[in-house]
Order: sequence, then structure tokens, then C-alpha cells
Amino acid sequence: MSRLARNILVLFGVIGGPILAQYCANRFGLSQYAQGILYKIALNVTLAAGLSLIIGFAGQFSLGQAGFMSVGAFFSGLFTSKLVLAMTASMNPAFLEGDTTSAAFLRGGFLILTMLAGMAAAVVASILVGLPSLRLRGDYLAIATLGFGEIGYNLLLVYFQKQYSDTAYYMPNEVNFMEKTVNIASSWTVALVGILVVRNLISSTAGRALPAIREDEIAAGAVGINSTRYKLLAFIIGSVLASAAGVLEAHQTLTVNPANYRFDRSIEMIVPVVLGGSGSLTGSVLAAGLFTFLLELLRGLPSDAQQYRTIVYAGVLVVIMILRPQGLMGRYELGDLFRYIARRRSAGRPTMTLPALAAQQIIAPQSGKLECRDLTIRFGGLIAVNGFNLSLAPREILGLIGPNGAGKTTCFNMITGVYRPTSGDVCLNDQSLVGSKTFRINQRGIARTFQNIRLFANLSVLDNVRIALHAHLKTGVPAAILRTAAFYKEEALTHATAMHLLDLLDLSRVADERAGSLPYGDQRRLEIARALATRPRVLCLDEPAAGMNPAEKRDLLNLIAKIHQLFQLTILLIEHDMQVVMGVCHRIVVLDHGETIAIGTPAEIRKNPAVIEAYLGEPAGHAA
Amino acid sequence: MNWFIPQTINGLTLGGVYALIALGYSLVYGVLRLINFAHGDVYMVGAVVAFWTARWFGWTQTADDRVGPLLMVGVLVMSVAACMALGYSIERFAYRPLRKAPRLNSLITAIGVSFLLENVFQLKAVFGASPRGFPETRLPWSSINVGGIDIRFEQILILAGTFFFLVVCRYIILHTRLGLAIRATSFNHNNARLMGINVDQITSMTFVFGSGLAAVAGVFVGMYQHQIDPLMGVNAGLKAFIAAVVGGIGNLSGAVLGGLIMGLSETYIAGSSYSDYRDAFAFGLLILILLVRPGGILGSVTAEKV
Repeated sequence: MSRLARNILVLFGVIGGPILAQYCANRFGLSQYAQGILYKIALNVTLAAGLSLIIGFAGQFSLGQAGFMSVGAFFSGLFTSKLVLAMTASMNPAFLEGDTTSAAFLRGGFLILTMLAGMAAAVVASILVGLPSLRLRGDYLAIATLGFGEIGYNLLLVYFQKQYSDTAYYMPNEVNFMEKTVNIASSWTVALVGILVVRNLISSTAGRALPAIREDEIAAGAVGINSTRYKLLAFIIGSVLASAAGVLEAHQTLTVNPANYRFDRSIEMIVPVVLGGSGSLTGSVLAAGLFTFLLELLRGLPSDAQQYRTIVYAGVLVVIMILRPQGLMGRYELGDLFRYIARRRSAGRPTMTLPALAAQQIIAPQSGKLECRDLTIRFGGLIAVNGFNLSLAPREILGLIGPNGAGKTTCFNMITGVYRPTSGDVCLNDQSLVGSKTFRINQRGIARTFQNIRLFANLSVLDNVRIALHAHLKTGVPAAILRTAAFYKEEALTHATAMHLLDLLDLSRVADERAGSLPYGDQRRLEIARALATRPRVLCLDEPAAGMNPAEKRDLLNLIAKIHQLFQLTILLIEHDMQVVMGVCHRIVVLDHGETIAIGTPAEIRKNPAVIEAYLGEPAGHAA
Repeated sequence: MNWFIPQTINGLTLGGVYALIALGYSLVYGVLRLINFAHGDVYMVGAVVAFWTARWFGWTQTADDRVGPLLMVGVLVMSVAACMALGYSIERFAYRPLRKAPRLNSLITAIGVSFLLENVFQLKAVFGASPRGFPETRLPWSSINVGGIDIRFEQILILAGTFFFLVVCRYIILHTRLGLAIRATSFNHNNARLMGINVDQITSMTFVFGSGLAAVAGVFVGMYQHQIDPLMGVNAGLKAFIAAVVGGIGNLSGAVLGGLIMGLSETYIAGSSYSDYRDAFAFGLLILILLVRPGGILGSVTAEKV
């Protein structure tokens, strides 16, 4: 089946399916109670899809999502009520009611309009909340979002008390769009569109930036991912979905009650996401549906057993968390099951040759001139690096050596923007990099590896490299969500490029493995592959030979030479191992206690008395 | 001014209660980097156990039946013991199995434990959902008059208690072997283990300490407000947590400072024409502190090493 046909089919399924279901439900007289349960399941599935994106994939723990439901409920509720009341004031009030098809369409139209109003409000609100709070991490983000949710509740409550002398707003009966006609249709359309958007996003190269941020934000920055932008994007999409659910709930109950959207509701939304598997959209969505259904079953218990409902709920939550912390589905998706059945591996041999990739300008040999001028950084009273000067000519390989604590990695961190130097300048091809964010510096052509390996440990080897190709994508998030032809084309190209790079570093046989499960040497090489994928001009390698045996070191030497020759790169190398440094570098800079003590060719450095003293701790004369 | 001074005293009293709870949040966060969401509910359990104990000793559950001071001390001791046991069990059975799981899991579990306690205590067979009266104490004097302002005995008790426990905590943390072990554990679990510290035991100890302080706060509030209910820990827990963050979480003096700030600001705002916005203000302050000074007023932040 062609991709276009598949896209059209999916679109019809998403919109036509719920309408058909609604038609059948009405035709065969499905009880209002059963319809209500189906509607509730759709609502919770929508919420789970959005939260799964924020918590599971982007790794941002928000405890205030119910607040965005109230944003949707509030704005759409008031918007439609005011609009419809204004219209009915001048027209026959029956125009929205009745069983005629035109009235049904009108109701549907109004619902869509009001939904858009609610979503637009949620976009604004999520930017206002997200921009400041997404700078925070982990627990602090959770607390800040919780705070925003409670502030929102407080403000809405005061507004309702002042405006309507009530704790909630009750919509007029004319606005009753959903009853009978569009209950299932509207809620399930929203749910399926939500699932589709999230699924399309997370299974695209652009969307894989999100789990990269979850795994390691610093490494994500080092491969050119603008983490602020992506975190905000996930937050907006998740919040818009929450708001859509809020719109539906307001119109179903004809009430906007802020007390329904407090902290406990946010928790109620999070529970299925975590229980289903917080890195699995399938798991989160299934758990949300299942939980809603099971809780409805518990409602059937006699009334004096009702009080045990929440106790059972909380107890199950604690027990599952302890027994299966990764959630029921872990990180597995439905697609993984299909792939397993079909035994289709995403890896395989590279499908494009190097010249073909070069022709697409995916692998373009390029080099740059890197200069550091008087680079100095202080941490409190400690001067970690003092007046560091460096000039790397294009295609030079320069070694940076020195005893532990000499300031080598600190230099790397200043060059790549992880630390901002106290004074001095870093220039790439005569343009200053100081003050730029890490991801921007990477995009301008400096890639690095880390001393303590920082791979995206829970992602596949292939994904680690694919993510790094991210900054050079031409199709963005909208194309990924809409699955355009250009998107598929670029996705194939990305895959081919990544596989080629893996092949080059002898890693294509493990492309489907979890990066964190690779042996040490493979992890080091994967970091190099990932750095190369960002198309650098300058490659900074931080102790690539650390922990390798002599045979592996020899392979590494050959590898660095091969990469240098193939990509025409400028390479800056931190290394303790003299065999590697002397074997591959054109020139060597020696640091000690933050000061440069020698610069020269390997032969010169070997004989330099200051270097010998720094390493052996005694004046060179004594040894003789 | 005739408004200001009594409100300040009320605010300090409320702040003292927040501070006692906040100390527990801070201790646990320091060692485990976990927001113990169930901590506010331990405070509630403290008040409830005191209620039960008083009844068990023959208190007739009427406002006229005042219990003697000696019995009140006994009630307090029982409540502290019960909460220490509860705190120990929560850590041992709900959090310890998750020590190596992602932090998110512990947070969810903490929330689960919190829901569990709240709902179990709402059962009729346990305590019931509606508020109940707390025994009043026969006191040597109910209030003293200083320069035209009445100060209740309980207010002095709460403030003195807060100060006393802060001093005790600080002494334990800074000047005893146990305190040294707690500080080492808080710095780095693995290093602490290598130095021969039983990290699990130390973690349990901090939960036991924190829960004991929460019990004291619960009894104090019962004595002060003469009324307790199974959801009293929700709001107080949140406010106390904010207090811990505002003062600098992991820092004991910070917890007390934060508690007093929260108590004072809440009382002042409640007495002003902006009283409707007091929660918005509290959370606004929290967010502001998180953004501007994430380490809190007295705390510091350590940068991640790359």
C-alpha cells in the first residue's frame, strides 16, 4: 500500500471511526450509561497520550496538567455560552436543538469552534507556565507546575465568586451540544487525533530529540538539540490535549468547576501513564482505558463499599510501583510487537554508499580553524584555567595533555559552551562562540565526546546516531506529525546515513541494541559516531582511549586517522595515553594547574623538561 | 497597630507548626532527595493517635472534659511513638524497595501512600471523614495579657516547642556521631557506605525523626485549634513543604525560617482585603524562589559535573 493511501486511510479511520461508532450506538440503542463510560475512556485516553509525551518521552514531570483542563473548560465554556446566548437572543432558540441533521451539524460545528478556542487558550497558558518552569528539573519542576495549577485554581475560584457568586459556572442549557448526538463521536475523535499526533511525533527523527533530553540533557545539547524548544513543544502539545479534554468535560457536564481540576486530578491523570509504562505511549493509553473501565466496575459495588474505592486504587498504585517500577509495558510499543512478529529488524546493511550520501551533502568533509584567546575561568576563588591560548589550523590534530586536574576538560567545557569563560574568547573560523548555548555551538561545527561516557543509554545504538543528525533535518515537527512525502524521504536518508556511520565505526551489527548495554569500547566508538553525525568541522575527543586495552588502543589510533582522512576534520584530543597522543597528534599542548607549560611537536614535548617535571614531579636535572 | 501585633503572634504560631513539619521534609529530602508527600499525613496521624489515646485514658469527648497536663504529655509521647513507627514502616516497605528505581517512581509511590493514609483514616471504622473535637488541656493559665494583647498558652507552647526542637535537631546533626553519619549519607550514599555507615539505617532514622516532629506538630495543632480531621495534613503538608523549599531544602534553620515566613505571610494576607488570594500568594512565592534562588534563602545549589 502506498504511503499516501495509508495516510488517507488513517485520516478516515480517526474521524470516520468515532462517527460510525456514534451512529451504531444510537441506532442499536446503546444505553446512555454505556455511552458515558465510552466517553470517559476517551477523555482519559486523551489525557494519558498528552502526559505520556511530557512525562514519559520528554521526561518532564508536570504535576499541574489538570490546570490545563480547567483552562480549556473555562475558555470554551464561557466562549460558547456567551456566543450562543448572543445568537439565540436574536434568533429562534430552537435552531440548535432538535433532531434534524442540520441542527446536528451546527452543534458539531460549534463544538469544533469552542474546542479551538480552548486549545488556543491552552497554547498561551502552557507557554506562560512552561517558559519559566521548564528551566527547572525533576522534583523542582513538579513542584512549580503544582504551584501554577493551584494558583490557577485560586484565581478561577475568586473570579467565579465575584462574577457569579458561586464556586462554579453553569452553562445555559442551549449550549448542550453533546448530549445524545456527539458524545462518542467528539470524544473519540479527539482521543484518536491526540494519539496519532503523539505517535507520529515520537517515531520521527525530530521527535526523538525528546527521549534524548530525558536521557541526558547535556549530551542532547552537545549534539545540537535545542532542549528548551523541544521541552516546550512537548509541554504545549500535552497541555493542548489536556485542554481539549477539559473542553469536552465542560460541555458534557455543562459545568466549569475549578475544584475538579486540582492537584488530585493531576495525580489521577499521571497514575495510568506511569503504571502503563512511562516511556510507552501504547502502555499509557491502554492503562488509561483499562483503569477507567475498572473504576467504573467498582462503582457498581454497594454504597458502603464505595469508601474503599480510593483505598484500593492507592494500594494498587503503591504495590505495582514496587513490583514493576518500569510500568506494565516498560518502553515497548505496539509497533515493537508487530516488528517482533514480522522479525523485521530496523538495522541491516547501509542502503546508500558514501558517494551517494556525499552527493546529498549528508556527509560533507569540512574542517575549521579553532582559536582560544586568553581563556580564563574562575570557580569562586579557584582559577581552573588561566590564559589558555590555542590555535588549531584546519585539519590539524592537536593533543591536549596534562596531569589530572590540570584543566583539560574545563577547556573543552568552555569551548563547547557548557561553561562560560570568565574572560577570553573562543573563535571558530574567526567567529566568536562565547555566550552561545551548547546546541548552537554544536550546530556551528564543534562536536565532542565525553570523558565519562554520556550516551542516551536507554535508546538504541541506531537512535543515538539518528538523533545527532537532527540539527540538519530540513523537515521539522509539523512534517513529522502530518507524515508528508518529504518526511518519509528524509527519514530514509537519516536511517541510511546513521547506518553508514555505524558501519564506519564497526557498530552496525549492534544497531538495534540498547546503547547502555554495549561493552565499554563500543560505547566510546558510538560516542564518536554520534559526534560525527552532527557534521562537525572540529571534533573534540575527551580521553577516547580511557579504559581500553593495548589492542583496542591500536584500533582507536587507526580509527582516528581514518576519520581524519575521510572527513577532513580538525581534531582536538585530550588523552593520558602517550602511545595514542604521540602516535596521532601533529602538535601537543601541555597544561598544568590551569597554565599552559609547553607547546610543540610530539618529539619536542617528549624532551621538554617542564613537561617531565609536571608528570614525574621532580626537576629534570635530578633524573639525569 | 492593634491589628498588627496579635496577627504577628498568630502568624508565628502557625509558622511554628509549619516549621515543625518542614523540618521532617528537609531531613528526608537531604538524605534521599525525595519529596515525602506522605509527610503531611503523618502529621495528621499524629493528631489522631493523640485523640485516640486521650479517649483510651477516659476522656469523654466533650469540650467540658479537660484533660490534665500530665496526661497530655503522655498523649504526646504515645503519638510521637506511633508516628515514628509509621514513618519507619513507610520508608521500609514503600520507599526502600524503590531505592534504585527512577526518582519519578518514588514520587508516585509517596503520593500513593499519602492517598492511602488519607482515605483509610476517612473510613468510619477508623476515624471518619468529618472533623472531631480534640481534648482541651487544663492549663495553669489560658492566656496572659502583655501590654493589652492576649497571648494564649498554646501559642507560647508551640513557639517554644519549635525552637526547642530546632536546637535539638541542629545539635544532633552538627555535634553527634549520628549527625555526622546523616550528613555523610546526604552527601553521597556510596561514599558513606564505603566509610562503614549503614545507609539504610540512617535513612530510617531520618524518617523516624521527621515523623516524630510531625506528630508533635499534629498534637500542638489539636491543642491549639481543638479540632482535627483526616485531611488536615493536605494543606498543612503542602504549606510546610513550600516552607522547606523557601528556606532552603536540606537546611534545618532554613526550614524554620521558611515556616515562619509562610505562617506570617499567610496570617497577614488572611487579615487583609486580599485574603481570597492567600494560596495564590503562597504558591507564587514558591515559584519565585524556585526560579530566582532554587537553593532557597539559606541553601545553596551544587552544579552538575560534566
